[in-house]
Amino acid sequence: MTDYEFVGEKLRQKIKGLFEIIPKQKHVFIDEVRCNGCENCYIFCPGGCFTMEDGIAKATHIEDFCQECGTCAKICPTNAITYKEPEGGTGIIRRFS
Amino acid sequence: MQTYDIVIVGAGPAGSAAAKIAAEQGMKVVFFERGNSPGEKNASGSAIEMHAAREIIPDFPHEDTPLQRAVEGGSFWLQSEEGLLCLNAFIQAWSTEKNDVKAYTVYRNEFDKWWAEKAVEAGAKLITKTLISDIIKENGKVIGVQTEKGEKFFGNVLIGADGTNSKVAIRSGFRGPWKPNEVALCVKYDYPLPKTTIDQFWGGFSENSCKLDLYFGQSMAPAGYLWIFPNKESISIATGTGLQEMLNGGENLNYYIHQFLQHTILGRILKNVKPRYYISHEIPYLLTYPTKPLEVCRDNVLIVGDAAGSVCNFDGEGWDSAVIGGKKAAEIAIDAISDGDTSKQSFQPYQKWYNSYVLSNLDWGWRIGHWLFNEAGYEQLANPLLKTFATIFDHPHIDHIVPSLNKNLSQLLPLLGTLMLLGKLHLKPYADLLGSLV
Repeated sequence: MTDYEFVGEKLRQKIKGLFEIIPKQKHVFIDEVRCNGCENCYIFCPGGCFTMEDGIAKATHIEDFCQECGTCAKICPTNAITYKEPEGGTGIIRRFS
Repeated sequence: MQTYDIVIVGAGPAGSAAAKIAAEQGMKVVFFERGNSPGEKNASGSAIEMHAAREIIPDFPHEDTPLQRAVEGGSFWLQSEEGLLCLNAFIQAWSTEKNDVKAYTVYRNEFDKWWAEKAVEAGAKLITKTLISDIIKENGKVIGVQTEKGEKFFGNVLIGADGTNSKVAIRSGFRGPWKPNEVALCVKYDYPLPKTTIDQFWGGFSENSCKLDLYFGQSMAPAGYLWIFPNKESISIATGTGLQEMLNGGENLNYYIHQFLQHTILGRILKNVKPRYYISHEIPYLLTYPTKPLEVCRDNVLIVGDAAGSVCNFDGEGWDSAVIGGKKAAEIAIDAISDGDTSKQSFQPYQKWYNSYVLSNLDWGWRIGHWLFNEAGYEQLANPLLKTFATIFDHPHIDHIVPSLNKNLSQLLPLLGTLMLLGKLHLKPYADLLGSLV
């Protein structure tokens, strides 16, 4: 039973301000035709980067919340997600890591 | 066009180790980091082991090495329906020998920067803020790499030290992206705490020392564990689990951290403390049985560390094999370059090292991990002991305690059998396979 308290927008509220990101171009893409609405990316993304809209996953918060783990692409059952690493010198900055 | 003896993608523990060893031997070396400085994108438990560090820097640690606390022990917490059992282990608690530290906790963002500086001091060229977007091939063989801006770097040998999502490993044809049963996702929170509080709950016997906490249980990680690593003035609380197990009815990892704080003493210690940093990271975690050794060298190219999946699939520890693997890869690359033969065949000593060092770890890790997570081994261990304690509290009379001890502790006997069997089976299933490779 998924606890949606720790998913998407609610997760973003919890982790907001707890990391730094250097602005970057979007680097995670969803093929909306392939997306079957399973919610895997939405539920498990540790950055809460995804939003479900009309049964389709949207990568709405990649630029400001992506942790660059690459999990989304691996857990997508229809291979609808493309994960790329962001351009050098941009993206997440770790401290106390 | 820039040409080097050795081109290394990644300035993490493995890449920097390889760069230092190769540069010291007079090789022309370049290594790449996609962050603004090495360590900026890195994360782990985080602890580093002395035996591995000294393979690269014999007089490790130096005065300016950014270390946090010396690890003197650990507590293993096993969850079952009966409660939570804790086994404490303090290594050499009564030892008179000083300075025999086996591991230190570190902040990887600080430590990896320092670690890469040692390679730069040895003469390796570090290029930061640069993502390697592809490899360059000629006649089917790897001859260099290309940056996202289109700059090309050529080398006799390419070492892929570019982590879990390694482009070098995938583009050179070693493997596809890891599958959900081959990786684990981890999340970690850093909580600042006064030094005295950390000493009180996690302190060891000497100044700036600590014990680590490892929690096993379905409520904290479906396949993996939750851990607390103390630093000088903060603790990190993290949990990690195999992606496949997470998909099989698991929750977002933040749920487990939240539950943990609700149900353990940590919730009270951290009652008015806000976390100051959040980190998440993915590591290789090969939870399928390692039926055949992963290929780690091809013509002109070797892969090391997380790129090569060299992470123990029980404890998730990969720093030591990344560092030692980086050294081995560099040494074997140097030999190959001086012999003028950088073919896959010339790199076989590296494959042999990988098969003996990493694969035996994977084999053990799989056996223990499978037993612990799939057969709920921690419950088998915890239940009889917890039941015995419950009896002692319920009926503090020897007439009750002795039969209860007999009944409960006898349940531990099959467990010993299982463990002995695990030991006996070690390496046997693919001894032939290894033999055929050698």
